Amino acid sequence: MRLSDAAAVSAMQRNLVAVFEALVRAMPGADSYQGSDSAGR
Amino acid sequence: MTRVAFAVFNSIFAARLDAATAGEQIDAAKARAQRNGVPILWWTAPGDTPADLAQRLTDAGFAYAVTLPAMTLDLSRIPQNGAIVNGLDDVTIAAVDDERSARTWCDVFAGGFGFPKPIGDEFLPLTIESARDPNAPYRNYLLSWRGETVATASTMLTGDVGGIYNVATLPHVRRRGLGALLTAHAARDARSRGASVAVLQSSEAGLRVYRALGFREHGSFEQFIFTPASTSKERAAAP
Repeated sequence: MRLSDAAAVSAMQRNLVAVFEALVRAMPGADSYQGSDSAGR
Repeated sequence: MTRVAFAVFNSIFAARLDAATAGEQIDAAKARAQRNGVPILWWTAPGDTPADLAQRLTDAGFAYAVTLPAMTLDLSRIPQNGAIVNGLDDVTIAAVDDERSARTWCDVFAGGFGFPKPIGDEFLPLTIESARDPNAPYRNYLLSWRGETVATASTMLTGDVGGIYNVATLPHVRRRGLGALLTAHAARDARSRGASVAVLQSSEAGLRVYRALGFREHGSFEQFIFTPASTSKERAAAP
């Protein structure tokens, strides 16, 4: 599957967000996961 | 945002800010970092808004840190190991599947990136959690060479996209193709779980390796760090 540049970057951003959601939610010391509003998306 | 004083743990992505209010939202992020006493890592990419976001961040006191090429690989085209590197004997690659290997993963990851051990240990909860669930979208891998565990990688599945992260090799065994082998393994594993394309953000050191594996570039991410006055300078780090 070949992606356009815009589609590739968008897919990467969704994947990155999934990584950080998982990372922060697993951390007992994290005070919150801000979700989409933290990035202003 | 966390309370970990390491910028990557307090990352902002994919900003879609209105030009009229972007300044207020940037200031709000800074204020939150100030309250928590932690640095922020703000990732910008093509498509983020406003279009002059990078300049606005710089004007607001964020420091440019690094540019990370955004790369993808069509997983129907991933090369076989023999085409990647020859002559490496006694290499084993395994998914992290218990707490012991999760702890090893964190140690090797920190060593490979040059992070202090406590920073590597911040990944332990997720590493253990994903080790216990064979169907978790996030998975970690360890590569051993001649009996020593020397390299790490991770994958995250979102739909048919497999993100590859945390490719790190201990300094004393670099430039042997181990990172390439592990990246290819991670990509194949993502394909076996349903991904049709692999994505990653490359470090400068990894760019040549990923190009050789067939990854192609789609622009780049830039990282900017805001460090509150009360915290020490932090370095950027790709996850």
